[in-house]
Amino acid sequence: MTVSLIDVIAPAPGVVSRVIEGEAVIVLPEQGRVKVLNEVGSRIWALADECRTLESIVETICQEYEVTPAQAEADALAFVEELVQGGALTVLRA
Amino acid sequence: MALQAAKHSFIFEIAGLRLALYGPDTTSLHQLACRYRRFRSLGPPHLEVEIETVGQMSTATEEARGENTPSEQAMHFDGGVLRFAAGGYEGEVDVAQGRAWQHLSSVDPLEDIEYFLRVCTALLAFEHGSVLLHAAGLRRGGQGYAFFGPSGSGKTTVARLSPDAEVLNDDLVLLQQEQGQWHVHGTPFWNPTQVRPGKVTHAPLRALYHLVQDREVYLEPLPKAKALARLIASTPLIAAHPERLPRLLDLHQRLLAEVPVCDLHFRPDPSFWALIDHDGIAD
Repeated sequence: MTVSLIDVIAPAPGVVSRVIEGEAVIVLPEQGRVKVLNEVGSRIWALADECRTLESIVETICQEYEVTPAQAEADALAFVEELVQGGALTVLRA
Repeated sequence: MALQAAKHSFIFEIAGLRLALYGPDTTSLHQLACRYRRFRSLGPPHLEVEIETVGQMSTATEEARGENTPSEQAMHFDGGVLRFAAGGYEGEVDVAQGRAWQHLSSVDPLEDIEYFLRVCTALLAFEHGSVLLHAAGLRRGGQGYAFFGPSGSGKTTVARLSPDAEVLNDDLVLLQQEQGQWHVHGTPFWNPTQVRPGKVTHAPLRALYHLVQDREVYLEPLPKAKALARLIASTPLIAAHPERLPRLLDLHQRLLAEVPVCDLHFRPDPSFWALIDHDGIAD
């Protein structure tokens, strides 16, 4: 795992996104890939604004969705890790 | 760069966009002129394309030839100018100046020249608010339908299974909004493995269908985000360049606002047409 809760995350350079009806479309042009995130994934994507730690993002998710902190933390870490490994997000370490 | 007096030239037009091709008096140019004869035009070109064959390229890099040659990764934008270089192939496209050139040393010049013309058309169309799409465009009952997807998804198959429809092109079409109505335009780009385009060149666009090969035949509505993602994935060249992506996303969103898009699950038989004919989504 390369991501931790104290990390600040942001869209990777060159990635272009658009939110439509609550779902984020993520385009990775240099890889020729397009991803669509579900509602919660799109919310995490919107919160990955270079200013918040992942811990802060998880807190927001817990406030907005019916999920336990432990589940939100585990799901967010896995989700962000996948996007970092896939080149959609980058980690700006605190 | 001043264009030299060429031995052979012709102008072709797609959806009102005209490209003039200048090059040596070779078999390839004559073959292209013959292939493109239904698209020939006498109007002033928007883009002048000069082709020059050279003995040995200065580029040292050898690129593996894939479906598009050179690969889109061998291309880059320098300001507004597209530049690319690969083994046996280099060129530039400057839509703002209305000029493009290609130098090639190739064992298959016809296909390399046509690939370059596809690149030129994609860029020219985009700068004029239109988009080239990997899709089979068909006209049936006076209405246009675009069946899109990656290579192997069944575009040519759909065209072959449509005897009651006129084929605009079974691989590359141009979508353009004209006086508020989206139209699907055929292009002259094809190869002998594809269905030869018919005489009809365009039709008002009724619906877009993303192809899914399946044992069952049915239509699956798409959320707009997924529809947008599928369209982006079927848009050659432009989708590979970050600086143009926001405009491309805007264009596709305008398209989605006006034209229904869904997944078409189909078998290799014409039964999908009965579904489309009775589909309320296209009404």
